Amino acid sequence: MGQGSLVEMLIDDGKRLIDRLSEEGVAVTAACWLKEAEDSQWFLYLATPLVSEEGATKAAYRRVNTVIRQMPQPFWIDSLEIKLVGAGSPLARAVQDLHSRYPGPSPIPYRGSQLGDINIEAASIYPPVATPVR
Amino acid sequence: MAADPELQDNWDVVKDWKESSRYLRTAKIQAEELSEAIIDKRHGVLSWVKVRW
Repeated sequence: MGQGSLVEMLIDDGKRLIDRLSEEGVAVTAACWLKEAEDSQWFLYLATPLVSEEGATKAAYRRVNTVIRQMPQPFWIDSLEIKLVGAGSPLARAVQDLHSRYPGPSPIPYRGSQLGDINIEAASIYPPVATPVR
Repeated sequence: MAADPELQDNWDVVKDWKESSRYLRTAKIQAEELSEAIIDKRHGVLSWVKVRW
């Protein structure tokens, strides 16, 4: 995905992926699209305990990529547009704080310059994710 | 990349690195994971890049 606005289609696909991960038993404790200040690119950030406390991500990407490959088509999010962070990461905590202040069922547009430990241009925060079903 | 899931996983690890990462303290396992994702001879990012550039 290039620069510019985050399109509705990607927000919808992100929600589909989060729901699918939950169905597959993958916990996602926070989720948002961030346009990072450093490279002005949108990324779908998913906070999950699959990422180790030390920050190792490879096994987590392997699991998430398996789910992505099974997503019904069309599905427009490339795995390179997804960043996984730990469930206890500063980003996850910042998103959960926003959930507590702005509860609701819809994604929250966020215009601050920082979210957690990430400098951003813009963000769209998904509402709290349902607990995995298995 | 779709034909090589291991390469795809390695790319995902490598793409998380950014210029400002140089100034962060990183756990050993995270550094080893990044290094391995780059230099792995069969599925590493460096081998992939060498073939294409």
